[in-house]
Amino acid sequence: MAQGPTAVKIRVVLVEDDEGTRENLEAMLRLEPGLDLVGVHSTGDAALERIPEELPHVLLMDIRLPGLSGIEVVGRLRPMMAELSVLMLTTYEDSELVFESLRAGAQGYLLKNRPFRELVEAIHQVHEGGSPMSMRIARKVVAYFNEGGQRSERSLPAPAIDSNSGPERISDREHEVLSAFASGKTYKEIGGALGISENTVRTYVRRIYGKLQVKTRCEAVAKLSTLRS
Amino acid sequence: MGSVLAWILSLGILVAWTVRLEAAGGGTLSEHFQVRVYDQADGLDYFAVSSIAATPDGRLWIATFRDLARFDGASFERVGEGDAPGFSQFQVRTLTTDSGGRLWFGGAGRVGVLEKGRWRFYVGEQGVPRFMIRTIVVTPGGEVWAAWDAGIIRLRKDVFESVNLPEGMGTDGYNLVLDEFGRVGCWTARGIAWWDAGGWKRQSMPTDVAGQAICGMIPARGGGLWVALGSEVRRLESEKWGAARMRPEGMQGEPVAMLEDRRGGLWLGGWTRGLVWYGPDGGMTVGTTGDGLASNSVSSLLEDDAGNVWVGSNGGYLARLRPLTLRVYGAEGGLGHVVNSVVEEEPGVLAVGTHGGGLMRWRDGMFQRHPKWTGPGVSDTAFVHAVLRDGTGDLWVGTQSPGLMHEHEGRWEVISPGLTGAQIIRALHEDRRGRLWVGTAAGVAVRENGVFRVLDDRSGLPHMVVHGLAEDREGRMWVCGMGYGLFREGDGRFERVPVAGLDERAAYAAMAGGRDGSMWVGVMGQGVVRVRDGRSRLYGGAEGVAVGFAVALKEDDDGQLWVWSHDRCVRVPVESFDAVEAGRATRLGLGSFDRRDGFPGAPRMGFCPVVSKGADGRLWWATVKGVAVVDVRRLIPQPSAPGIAWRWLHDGDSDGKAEPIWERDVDLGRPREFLDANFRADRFGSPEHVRYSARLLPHGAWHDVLRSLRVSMQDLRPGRYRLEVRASEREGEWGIPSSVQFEVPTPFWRQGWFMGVSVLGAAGLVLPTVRWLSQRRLRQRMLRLEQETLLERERTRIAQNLHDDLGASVTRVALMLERVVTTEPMSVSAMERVKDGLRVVRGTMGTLDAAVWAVNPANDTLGELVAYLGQMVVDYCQGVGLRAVLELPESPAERRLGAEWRHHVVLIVKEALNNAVKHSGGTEIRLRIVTASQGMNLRVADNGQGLAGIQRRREGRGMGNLRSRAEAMGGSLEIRSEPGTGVQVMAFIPWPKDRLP
Repeated sequence: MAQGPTAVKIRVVLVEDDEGTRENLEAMLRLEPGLDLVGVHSTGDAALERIPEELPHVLLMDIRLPGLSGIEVVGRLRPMMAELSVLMLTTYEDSELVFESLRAGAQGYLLKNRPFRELVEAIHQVHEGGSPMSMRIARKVVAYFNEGGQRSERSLPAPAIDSNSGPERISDREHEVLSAFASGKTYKEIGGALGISENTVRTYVRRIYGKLQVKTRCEAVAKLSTLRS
Repeated sequence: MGSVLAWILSLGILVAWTVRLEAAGGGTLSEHFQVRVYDQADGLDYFAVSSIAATPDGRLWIATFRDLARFDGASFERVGEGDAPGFSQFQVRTLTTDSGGRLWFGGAGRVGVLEKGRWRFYVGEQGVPRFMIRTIVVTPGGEVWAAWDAGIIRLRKDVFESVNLPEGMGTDGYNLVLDEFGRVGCWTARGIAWWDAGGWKRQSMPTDVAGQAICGMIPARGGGLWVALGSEVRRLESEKWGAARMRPEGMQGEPVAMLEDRRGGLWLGGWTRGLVWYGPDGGMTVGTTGDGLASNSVSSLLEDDAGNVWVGSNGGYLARLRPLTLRVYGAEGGLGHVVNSVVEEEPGVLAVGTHGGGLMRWRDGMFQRHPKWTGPGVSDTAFVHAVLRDGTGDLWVGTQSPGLMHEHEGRWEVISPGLTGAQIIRALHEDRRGRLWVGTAAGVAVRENGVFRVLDDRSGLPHMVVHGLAEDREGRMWVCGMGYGLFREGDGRFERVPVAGLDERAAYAAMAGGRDGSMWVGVMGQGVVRVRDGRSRLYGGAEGVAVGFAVALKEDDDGQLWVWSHDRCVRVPVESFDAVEAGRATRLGLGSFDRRDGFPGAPRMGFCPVVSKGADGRLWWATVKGVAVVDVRRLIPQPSAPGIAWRWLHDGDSDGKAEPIWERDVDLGRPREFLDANFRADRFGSPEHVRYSARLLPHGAWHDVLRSLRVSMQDLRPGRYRLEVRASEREGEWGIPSSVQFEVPTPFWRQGWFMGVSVLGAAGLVLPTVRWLSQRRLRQRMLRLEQETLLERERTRIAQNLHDDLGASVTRVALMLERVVTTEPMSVSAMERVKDGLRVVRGTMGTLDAAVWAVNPANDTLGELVAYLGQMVVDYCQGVGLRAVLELPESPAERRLGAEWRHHVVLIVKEALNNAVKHSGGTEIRLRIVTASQGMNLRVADNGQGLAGIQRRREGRGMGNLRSRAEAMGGSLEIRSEPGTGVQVMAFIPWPKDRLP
């Protein structure tokens, strides 16, 4: 089996409740050089219990799980595992759910029906500190920061409750990246326009996501309940 | 000299009056009421309303200067000549109801009455003069009196007879009034007289208002009369005038309609200058077209069961003023921060802990820095989580940093986190023994006799984030934390309180001690737990606590428990919990208040105190938007559960039962093909808060329905049926159902004689046919309730199902194929075929995604549509290697757009995109969306070669489709193309018509 001789394999955990999807993904992930699939779970509870011990670099998390949802699991893991990179897997481009995942601490998301290579690429990118973004998500993020971090549509509490700085501000450069996404530009176009590499664009995106994150667990739980109800 | 004196005097009066008016300032009408005008768009087809009245069947009657209209909460129906010839050429001027539920009405030369669906008219032959009857009163004993400008009549033995007029009150402008004992009074601009033992007795008038004309009069709720005089309103009781309430300038002198509502407010409506509302707290508010009324002419006022005030207007239709039960004080009061904690310091004065703005004080609607929040160690940008004033008058403030702060005689001291066990303080409580309890992000500390003690492992409490602190009737402390559990103070130690059906990881979010010794616990996502006498019980969805999650609770002074969730608060009588516990009821009797009542947002979760009860009983809570309040004193008691009135019943036969239907329980005999039932709750006031359910006996269960349903006879076996419909208001108890009985007859071919003939005669042919026919009917479902539909719920469900079931399966297939491609060795041609399959599956996924998006009601907004269109263009361009340039409104205004409308707009953009990609040969596609008040401007442009002549002629199908689609939506579409500059498709689509309240 071919594998980079020096590179440390990326430790990956998969959480997915649908058996067929899980098995197929598992089979392909196991064969992927460069990745080390250290855990596969079918429920949020199991994930929550085992992941802190499995110490993955990257967590592939199904957004909708019965019982404890994927978003909820991420929200609970985040305070324990600051270094963990999380990619949410979703069936549809449901920007609201994706946005809430980002708020809970995910670094990116991927549609399950995208080619498997894209998933592998996304794992590498997120592990290297980059994050993907789409135009729809960019709009949500822009709106979120425009409202000073207070989202009106579902009257969620403000972010960063327990932080002294209040809602975080994004830098000018981050704002440029964000508006470029919101106006439909690609990574390549944005990198070209700003004179930076595509990977740097992804790093900016990661930083922006970081500023969305809720800082307390209770807030995350409140939000989740809002989404469910 | 004299004139100067008079000038100074009048100036003084003017100043005094102005000052008085300002002191009474009650804000604008829309701060207190939500105003909704019902007009032609709602079916009220005559603009001039002269009088309104409500009948016990839950209908509102509107007299127009033409005839009558009836309103059932959903629709208006005109009642006129078609219903009774007596309405011909009859301007109705006045309405009233009597204790028997009869509706009396009078107008030009006629008096009429509606009794049990029958109209009856009194005209000249029965003693009614040919003039305009202006008032009718009916005494509790059933005596009917009517007055016109120059005289008074009363009904005796079904004929009206003239009544002598009181003396000394002028010769015209007679009006009638009843006092609280049912005595008949007569008043004119000059005075009042009471009918007593066959004659009029003049009311002696106190002298200090002599010279002012009387402009209006109603009985006062507490006894006596409210009398509107030229420049003021006074209560007249026991021959004494009460304090004056001034009439605003411009309204003085004109006659007024009057109403005293059940909240203690007094209303005046003038003919030219709108409404005046004297609020229960003495404030005066003027309501005009500036507040949303359609006209400043008010002819009549009425309060309904739900506490709405209805305003009939001569020229401005009908308006409903719904009291905003809940209010929020925030930015307009000078607040620039989220509020975390609130507590009443002294009556009407609040200490407010803000998120990043330190400690503030609220008084009379305005926020300012708390006067004591000053000195060393105090920060204007502090994050205050909890605030408390202790029994000695000291202030305690729990902050994010530097921790717990204590104010004593104007000096602040920071309590070292070492003493409280943590820096982040979340909750504070002083118990009756004077102990100060401090809930932190790491556990609990207590201060006793001036000494702090951190409760460590030995205390029985875990290391926890504290969300709630509360004290029970016995003075024991309770502590809860989400994900940690519920704990009660025992002898020197805390013990865990198990809750049946919940584990310790449940989200115990808030607590409140009850007067009967209960401890109320809010558990997010579950409901409310009552712990009493060592027993616990969870009240959730099954008992009607469908409040999503319970983030705060409080008992009010009326024995009601208030429970807050993210989008509403409910009040539940504690006795209703008792009833469920004792098995006397299955559901709690709730009263629910949501955004339609002004609900501003949930209490801030996890801070304590977050809900505070004021000395006057008002409940205050801390929200993201500011300090919210519900004035418990001013709530209208929840009316009993609504009943059902049939609006019409049709059976597919012309003999179907149509209006008027007065019975609640109807026997329809044998309907032909189907039974269409249309019904309304007997409440016209708050149809938004009413829901319905129906069942078909003998076997059916209750289903949610909207205001009509259809039962198809062919779905039913022969037999007797009973359709029952019931209603409930504000999520409260269900009312008594109304019913329709009917019979589905045994078809002739299943009756004995026919069977016999068949068997004897044509057994070979007829029997199989008959069996087939009847079995086919039986095979169909036994019961189908076709509803006007709970469309939205259904759409959510469909979206969910598409997502969960179909989406998961298609994903599975995609991955399976992918796995085959990645891992299985196979021939090149096989590989190509599998990849083809994969492409098809991915395409299907895209289609599904679009369907889920369209169906899901969560996407019924302009913002979602704009984002979706943008993403669609981006994805499309990426797929074909073009550049996408978007110019979209960043945060478009909130606007609801239905699935169909969105779908059509998406199709227009998609088709324009298709055309651009097919024909342009350019490198980029631009989408521009501009929203306007009337609609949405769309432009899809490419930078290609433009439409050449031939293409232009063949603009043909694609573009033609586009145009007709835009036009079908009431919009327009234009295609511009200059050679070399590409094609621009520009469309204007008007917003969909939306008449939701």
